[in-house]
Amino acid sequence: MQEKDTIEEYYRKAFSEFEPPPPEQAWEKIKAGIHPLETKKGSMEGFKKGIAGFYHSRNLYPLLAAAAMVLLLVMIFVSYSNKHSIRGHAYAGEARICMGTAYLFKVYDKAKPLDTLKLVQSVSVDNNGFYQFSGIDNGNYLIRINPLPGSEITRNFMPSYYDQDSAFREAIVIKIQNEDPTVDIHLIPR
Amino acid sequence: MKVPAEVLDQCLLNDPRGQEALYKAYSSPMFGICLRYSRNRMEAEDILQEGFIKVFKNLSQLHSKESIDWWIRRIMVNTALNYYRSQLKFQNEVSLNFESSDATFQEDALSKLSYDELLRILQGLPAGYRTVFNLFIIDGYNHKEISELLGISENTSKSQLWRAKASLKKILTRIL
Repeated sequence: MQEKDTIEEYYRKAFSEFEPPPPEQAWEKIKAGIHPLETKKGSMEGFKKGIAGFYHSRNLYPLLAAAAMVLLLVMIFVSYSNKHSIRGHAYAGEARICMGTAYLFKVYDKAKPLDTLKLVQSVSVDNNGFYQFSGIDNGNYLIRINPLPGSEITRNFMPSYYDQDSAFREAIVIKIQNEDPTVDIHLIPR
Repeated sequence: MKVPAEVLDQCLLNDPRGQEALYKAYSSPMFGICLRYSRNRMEAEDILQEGFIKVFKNLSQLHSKESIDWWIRRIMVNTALNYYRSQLKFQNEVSLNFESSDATFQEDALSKLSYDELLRILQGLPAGYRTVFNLFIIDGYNHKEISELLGISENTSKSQLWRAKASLKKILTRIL
């Protein structure tokens, strides 16, 4: 009969000299934790190691989430702060038109403006003749107003570009450069 | 002491070469500690990482270079305790004769179990049982020290140990 052993004695014997191999790359993560600046200013390899250490540290997940949220908000703010709007009223003679559609065309090439038009937005003109385009980048634009088809105004006035031109070849280019202009447009009588 | 005194001097100067040498000398036994106190390998890796960062940042507080083995070990145990502190829930004390609860097994029966199996059984215990068992049985803390470390009474420490041993006996009896 062999000598009996209690559980705790057996565990004590088994684990007092328990020395399993440490996890791979653990040193790199620890090094990134104690020498963050060195890792930052080092080579691309150092940068990757730093990112790996950061990524594998699960305790930093809430911090990472907060940082990502702040970054997202900053990006949204920056993105919106570079956008502009154009607003104004459409007139038929002295009166504002009642309902219609406003079209915004972007002119992509100054040298060949008429070959590089692209419709970027269309909005409704309200019953007080008001229209507004929002979220516009800096650049060159043409605006066209179409009165409501079948209305009295359509019989007496033609769809028109700014500034009172029937064809885009004669239309005046509106330049948006960090501003939100008001552009009133007068339709051409028939 | 697993490293020459020069290595500790390098570490005190924040020299990565010395720090790597110290890590290589102690990483295996410290990972063993982390595995015993944790629920799984992933958490043990986190504790090891956090523990070594504390070692390097606080090395200047080491009073005597000869006590480095004990000092690193204590930091690692404390890091593990902090990691699970929120989960350490201790049940009410039990009025039992703690000394009479020792379970015995044939030595050859226990030796059939591998390190991995023994570790898995230990890791499967509730955090409170596992922590007191580790502290008392393997790391040699007494109940007074455990009560101070964990903020519990000595009797609670004793009852946790008894419960841990009873749980282990139950599991091992089923397996062996």
